[in-house]
Amino acid sequence: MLRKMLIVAAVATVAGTTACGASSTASGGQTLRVGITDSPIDSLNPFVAQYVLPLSVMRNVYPYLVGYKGEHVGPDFASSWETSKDGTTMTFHLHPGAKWSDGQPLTSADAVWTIQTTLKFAKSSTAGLAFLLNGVTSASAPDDHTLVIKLAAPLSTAIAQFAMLPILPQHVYASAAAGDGSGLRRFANSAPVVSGGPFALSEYRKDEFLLLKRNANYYGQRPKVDAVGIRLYSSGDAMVSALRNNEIDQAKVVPATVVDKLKGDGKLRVSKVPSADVFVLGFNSNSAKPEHRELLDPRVRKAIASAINRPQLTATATVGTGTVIDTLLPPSIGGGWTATGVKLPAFDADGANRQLDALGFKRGADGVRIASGHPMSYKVRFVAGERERQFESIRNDLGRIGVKLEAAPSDASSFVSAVHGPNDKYLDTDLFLNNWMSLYDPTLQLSVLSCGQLGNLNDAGYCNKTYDGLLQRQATELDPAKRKAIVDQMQQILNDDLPWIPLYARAILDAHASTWDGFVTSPYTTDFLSTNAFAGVQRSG
Amino acid sequence: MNRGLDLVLRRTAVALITIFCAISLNFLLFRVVPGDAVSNLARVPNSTVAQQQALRHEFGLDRSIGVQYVAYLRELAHGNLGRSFANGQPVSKNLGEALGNTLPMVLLGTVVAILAGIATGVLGAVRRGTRTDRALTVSSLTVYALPAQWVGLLLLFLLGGVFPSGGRVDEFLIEPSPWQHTVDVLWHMTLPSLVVGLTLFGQYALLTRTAMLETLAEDYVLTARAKGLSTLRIVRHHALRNAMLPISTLIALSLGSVVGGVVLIETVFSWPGIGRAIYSAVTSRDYPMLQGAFLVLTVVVVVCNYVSDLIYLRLDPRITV
Repeated sequence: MLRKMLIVAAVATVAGTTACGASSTASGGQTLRVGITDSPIDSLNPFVAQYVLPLSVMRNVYPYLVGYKGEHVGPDFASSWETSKDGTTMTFHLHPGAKWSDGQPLTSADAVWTIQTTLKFAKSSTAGLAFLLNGVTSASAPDDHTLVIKLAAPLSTAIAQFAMLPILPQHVYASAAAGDGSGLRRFANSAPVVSGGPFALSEYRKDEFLLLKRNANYYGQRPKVDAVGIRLYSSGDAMVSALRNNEIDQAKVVPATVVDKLKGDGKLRVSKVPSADVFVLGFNSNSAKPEHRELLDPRVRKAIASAINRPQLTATATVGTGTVIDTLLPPSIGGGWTATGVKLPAFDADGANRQLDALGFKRGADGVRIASGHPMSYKVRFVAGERERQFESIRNDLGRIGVKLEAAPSDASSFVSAVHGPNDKYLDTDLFLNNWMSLYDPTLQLSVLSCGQLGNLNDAGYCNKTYDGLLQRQATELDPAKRKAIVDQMQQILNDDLPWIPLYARAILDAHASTWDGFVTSPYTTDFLSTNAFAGVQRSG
Repeated sequence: MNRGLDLVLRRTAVALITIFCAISLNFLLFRVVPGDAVSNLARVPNSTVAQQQALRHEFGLDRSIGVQYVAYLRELAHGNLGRSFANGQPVSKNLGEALGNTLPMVLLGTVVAILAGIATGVLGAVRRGTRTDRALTVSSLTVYALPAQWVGLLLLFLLGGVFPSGGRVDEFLIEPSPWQHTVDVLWHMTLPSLVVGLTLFGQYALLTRTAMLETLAEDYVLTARAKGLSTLRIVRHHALRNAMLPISTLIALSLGSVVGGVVLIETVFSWPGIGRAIYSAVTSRDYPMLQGAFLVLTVVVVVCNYVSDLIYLRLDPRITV
């Protein structure tokens, strides 16, 4: 009590000397004030940005050929499209007469330039976007509002890929693409950004603030708000405090610990949707790993999977907001991609103990089992500050079956180096905790565990040629039912081999003032696959 | 040679050598840590080993550490801190913005802490052994012991509705006049500055009290009292002047470290300053940003020490070597 009083007294003194009057917040008009926590902006350059928030900003600022409505792709800058009979030519009919925010014409020439330039420097400066043009050979424009894209072969994922490819203003970027194209990587794309989407990015201050103003030249349905200001918070508590004090109208990614409190506030509305962000316990699956080779045995992995009480882990780690999952494709992405027949073994510690007994791994004096002459004691690598609760829960569970875990937290860069290391050979790590966000189209998520991603995205060192073959086949299978059957089969393979034990999908928790409505949720912290998030938002009272 | 000038030259040489050593250590330190900028930047779905190599080449990371070091020193000598790996902008621009945000907030807090701390310390020493002294000492010790981020969160909780919960300005203030803008900035600065002030206040108050007690016990103070001088005059002209020696050292030292030490306060209040810039540079292994940021911090610390040495020289004529 003394401490509190001292502080309050001191505050009163200093406040008296510095504060000359409260700031008058301009909360009138139709400017939506959004707060978001821990969402870094690595870059606003579309060739460089990888984080979700800058991708969402670009989704609202640049035109895209097609966009998602829910989990399905629909028209955007292209009002319609058709595919040739042989499946290798796609023709898009674009909005005629469209303009960029600076008044310059927005035509098929911009789309052609974006695609050709990305293809041209795909191995260097435009690599960040090039995966969206997998299978594309060229683009051309017979007239201002028609775009023709040629594919090497029929491609079931083509439309999903184009839904993520921004169309860039040629007149702004062309000079950066001169020579070897390295200028494209260095392009700052400073605000105000020449925009073609529903909003124009008019202001950006690093680690501070983004201002999206309605783009008067937008070809589509104009948003109801005049502007959206996004304030970047580094602490969830500060953001929640700002929402409660009417400094912002919407708080994105609210800490799970305060949700109940916010729900009790009559002036606020809280939304909770399962995210596409999947948390996994991974095994180093490189068959050449020198130590603890018992972890390569799927029976050991199954025993470990059944020893983990996933419902309890989920409740603990997400404060009761997460959803238990069984495969790497979470139900939140819709489309029926989650293989309903694929299930992880149910929680059964006794069964897991019997399984390990049967494999001959006897317990040592300290209760830790011995496998091939060494204790079943493993380091678990994870990114510090994010997964301690998961780790503790798993450590307790596995302790009951005689498997000892030791935490090996580090920062994200060191984590990636260690899990892949040394030199991307996957020799050092036994177990790790990671998370992967699935898109609506499952290809990218499925590809993480492919041989082609070894040394790149693949964190498990897992390589299965049958799986890779299926990955290729599903990408070219145009019959949706057949494609789904292949994707189901891939999930079954992963369930048999268990390079990852899927744990849970966390929830996306947003809160907004009840004076606003029209918010559309998505399984992503900020929606980077559609412009729905702010399109219909308006003041309600 | 003039002994004073000799001393200044020596101190300058020591400061320059310190900066050079710090630059070299900063360079080496971040390259020893596992993971590099490319391991973050190049992990896009279609990335190949060749692409990662190309990126390493572009950043100069494929050269030997010795060659990189020489190149770094050469660029530095030309005043070029390089470009951030993460956002491609000149490091000097990134740092300038961040430092420009941090300094006013830190300075406001520090000035308040210095004034309040010295006043409290002097009052405690003059009223030695009384209730006032005990209350002041206990409160100084309490705030000295409290972790800054905890104080920050507590203030946020208690005063969130009165003061802004975070950020540097109210971005939604439409076309503010210069006066409105200044008021807005000060208003936002209040809580973070207050936390800086509170965390520094305790040590200033305690040190001032101790230094004052020492000087108040000196013979010349007794002489001054015997001459019939007023307490105020004794404190101002005889005791405090001499007590300022250790206090000025502490102020200079803490000024240097406070700039780098505000990372937690900046995080609590979403203040876009140097602390947050360093944090994100560490996580993305942005070597040029890190080197630049730590160079700035080193220079600030060394310069503050250097200035404190010079002040010492000015305050105490007895110092000659």
